[in-house]
Amino acid sequence: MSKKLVALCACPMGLAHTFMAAQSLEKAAKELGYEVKVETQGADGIQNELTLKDIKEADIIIHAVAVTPLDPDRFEGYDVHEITLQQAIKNAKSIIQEIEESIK
Amino acid sequence: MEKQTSKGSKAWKEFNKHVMTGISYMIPVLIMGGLIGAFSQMIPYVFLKIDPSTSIVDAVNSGNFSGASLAFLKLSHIMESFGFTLFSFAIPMFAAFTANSIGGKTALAAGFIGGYVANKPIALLSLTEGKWAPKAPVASGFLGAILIAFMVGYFVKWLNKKIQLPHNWLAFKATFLIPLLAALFTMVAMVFVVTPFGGWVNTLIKSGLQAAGKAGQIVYSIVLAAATAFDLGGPVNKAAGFVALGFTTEKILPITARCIAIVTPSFGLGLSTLIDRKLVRRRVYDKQFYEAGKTAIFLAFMGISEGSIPFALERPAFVIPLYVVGSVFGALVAVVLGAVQWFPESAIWAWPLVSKLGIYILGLIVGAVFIAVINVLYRNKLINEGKLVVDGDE
Repeated sequence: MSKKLVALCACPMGLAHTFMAAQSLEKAAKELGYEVKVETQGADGIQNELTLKDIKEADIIIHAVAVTPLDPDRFEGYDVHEITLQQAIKNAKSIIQEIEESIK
Repeated sequence: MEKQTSKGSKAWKEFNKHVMTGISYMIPVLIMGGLIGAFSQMIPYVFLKIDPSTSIVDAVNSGNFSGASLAFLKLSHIMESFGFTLFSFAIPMFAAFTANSIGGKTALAAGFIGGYVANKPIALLSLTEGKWAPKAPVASGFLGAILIAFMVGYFVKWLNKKIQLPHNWLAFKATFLIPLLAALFTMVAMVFVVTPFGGWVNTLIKSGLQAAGKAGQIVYSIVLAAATAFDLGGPVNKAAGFVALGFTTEKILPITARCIAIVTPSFGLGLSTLIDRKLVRRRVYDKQFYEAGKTAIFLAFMGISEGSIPFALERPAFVIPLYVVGSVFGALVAVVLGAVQWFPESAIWAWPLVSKLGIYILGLIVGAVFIAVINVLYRNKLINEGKLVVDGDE
């Protein structure tokens, strides 16, 4: 059973930062051996939406957001790690490792 | 990296997130209203070459237009009214979704009406010449919207937490009690606290800036341009936009410097990818930057600054100060020589709304060329010194 990481990215304009963060998290998570799914809430609406099943199965849930995401009730009761978009874009890998440390 | 160690920074982060959420829902309204509004101005003042000091209604009444041009004038009048009606919903939309971000659906409704009243204050009865008549106070505007959004957002959140009723009473709580309390709270807060305070602050700022005159305007332009350019659509930019939007919608200070600073970095850095081979006879960027450069220029015409991000990430220590200085420089040229833009949008379709558009464009060109030439020369110097290697040299 592989480890699973799900993330949600959202920025005010939904043009650039959202997708840069998503890309960077996806790449870092894959390098660290995760099965990964990243939802983006950009100007084109919700893409790659995380289902309740995704969230339930995930070992790590990350929100890389600068705004309050849509449909936040899905995550109720789960441990959500909220980071900034800048952290996701620049240091995705070390942030994921930091989270791994904290939940060990 | 930032860490959430201190309580202060966490509260600031929360605040920022709610404000950004509100802004993100306000932006489509600004774009829609702005587009329709801008087209409505282009028909008479650009295509029909009517003098900008003549209103559309006066132009129709002048009798100089008939047939197709008269029909177009009537259409532009409809578009003007529609566009600016849409536009007036920007602030209510902002307040609604900021409050929603804090307190959920009930707060959304209360925030919306709060934002609307911030724009159009409730008239109070006042005694003039022995007769009571309704009189509207000075609007609290953007400042009022942000205050009421936070007040009502946290109020609703607090009510939901504090009022604990048995389960069968849930409907009563959700459909009667909390909406009633939220609406009453919004009314009282808007009439007796937010409007007087916000109106007072707005009047104060307005008279202060008018007293400072030209010098005040120039200092404002420098700070606004620098903050706007700094992080290319990031939080500093948005915070600056927030303040500037308040000033421009209250007609206190125009937003010219910001409009120029939004797009100057992208025009400049994009331009640098076009001129490097002519200027120093070699490529100074890796291959993928030439695509990024064209995208940046295209996005700049759309009034979007994010196209410059790849350039800023690649060599931030030099590029960020460079485009900040370039943007301030360009903004100053435009502002000092008298270009004025009240409309908070820098995309090309808003250009017809600028007074002295030639000077505005001159400011853009000065800023962009400054950034492009210096960055190309600097990178060329680094390459010559062996400190920078670019791939795919022809």
